[in-house]
Amino acid sequence: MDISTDNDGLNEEVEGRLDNLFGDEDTAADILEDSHESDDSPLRELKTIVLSIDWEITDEVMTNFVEQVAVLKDRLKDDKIILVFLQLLGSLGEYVKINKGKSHPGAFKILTSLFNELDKVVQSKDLTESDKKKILSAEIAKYKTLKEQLIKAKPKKEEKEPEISPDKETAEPVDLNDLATAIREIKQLLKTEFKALRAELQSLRK
Amino acid sequence: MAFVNPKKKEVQVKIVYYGPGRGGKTTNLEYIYKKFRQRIKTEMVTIKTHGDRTLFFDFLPFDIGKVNGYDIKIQLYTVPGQVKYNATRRLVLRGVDGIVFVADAMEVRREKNILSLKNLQENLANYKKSIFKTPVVLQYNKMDLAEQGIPLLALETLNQDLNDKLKTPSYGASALVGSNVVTTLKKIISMTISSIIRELK
Repeated sequence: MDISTDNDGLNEEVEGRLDNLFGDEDTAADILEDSHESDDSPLRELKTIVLSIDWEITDEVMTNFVEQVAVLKDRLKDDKIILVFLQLLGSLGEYVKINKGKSHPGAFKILTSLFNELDKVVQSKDLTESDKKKILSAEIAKYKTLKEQLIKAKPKKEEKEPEISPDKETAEPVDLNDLATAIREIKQLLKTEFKALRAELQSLRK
Repeated sequence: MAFVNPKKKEVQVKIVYYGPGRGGKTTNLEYIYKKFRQRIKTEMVTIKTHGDRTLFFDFLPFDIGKVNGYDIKIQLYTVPGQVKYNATRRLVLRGVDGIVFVADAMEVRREKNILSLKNLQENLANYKKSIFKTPVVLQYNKMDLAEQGIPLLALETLNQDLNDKLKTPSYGASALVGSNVVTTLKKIISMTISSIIRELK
């Protein structure tokens, strides 16, 4: 870089570039206005719990979660759409509570997505019943996909520990091809990332 | 120090979003990517683990165009906030030019913010860098939660905890809705480029 150029001139140039790139951004006030929610939201307590789910998922927080969902189910039972949302949340909450860190990777993601969409449905005055149903259907589809994945994954455990389910005549075999493909994909992903990192480290060393 | 390629007339600027776990570092990058993907024309790379948390890092590169005849290439990274991934955090910090420290404004996260900033200072020291000589912008994230009655730390308290010695620009923000995300980004880019120019002199 030409170091003889004065700093002020360069700063102005940088500012200009940044304004060009990020210029038409909505103002913070507008964005916050869009997300404004009233203080008396029935989901406030549940939101606090969802936000407090930290890296390590504890019994305490998941018990609070499940209990709060039960309270809301009773309180909001007249709204069928909200009730279905809460049933799904309750079911997922129970699953995460039991499995904690061993839960399926998608479970927490779907739990968060379910909560966010429920929040949207509860808070937004502009959504029609049809809009709400569409949102719910999308969440149900995600939930079903997860459930199918969990069902598929279940026989693995049975195969490892056949003594737990002696009544079962046969356990479904693990699809070794799928497993091998998944391992290959993970390996490839890691290789690519490390390659990129190494390249960057080398370029930095130069 | 930024990577300067005089032949290609190109400068690579590495900016790392640092902070405690679940503070909103990835959300910052996701907001920038979603909002400006048509303009930045690059892809964001994210590797996630159980529960949607960052395992390795997020990476978002983009060009801001020519400044003084040089192409300025910005590379945004996040680090995993989880305490046990310190080796990864340290690795991502290597060659960093500027840092956005994303603090979590929730009252319950007060101690984690302080520990994470201390961890940043230690990890920079590992590369013989001083936090006081590195461009840093503080972002106090999740301010939107105040609207929902969730207890937050006051900006004064956050500044007292984190910015008493640093005395660097700080912004209350909400990465989720996007308030002050771009302001933070623009500030760290301009501070970092100024710092690089000073170093080159």
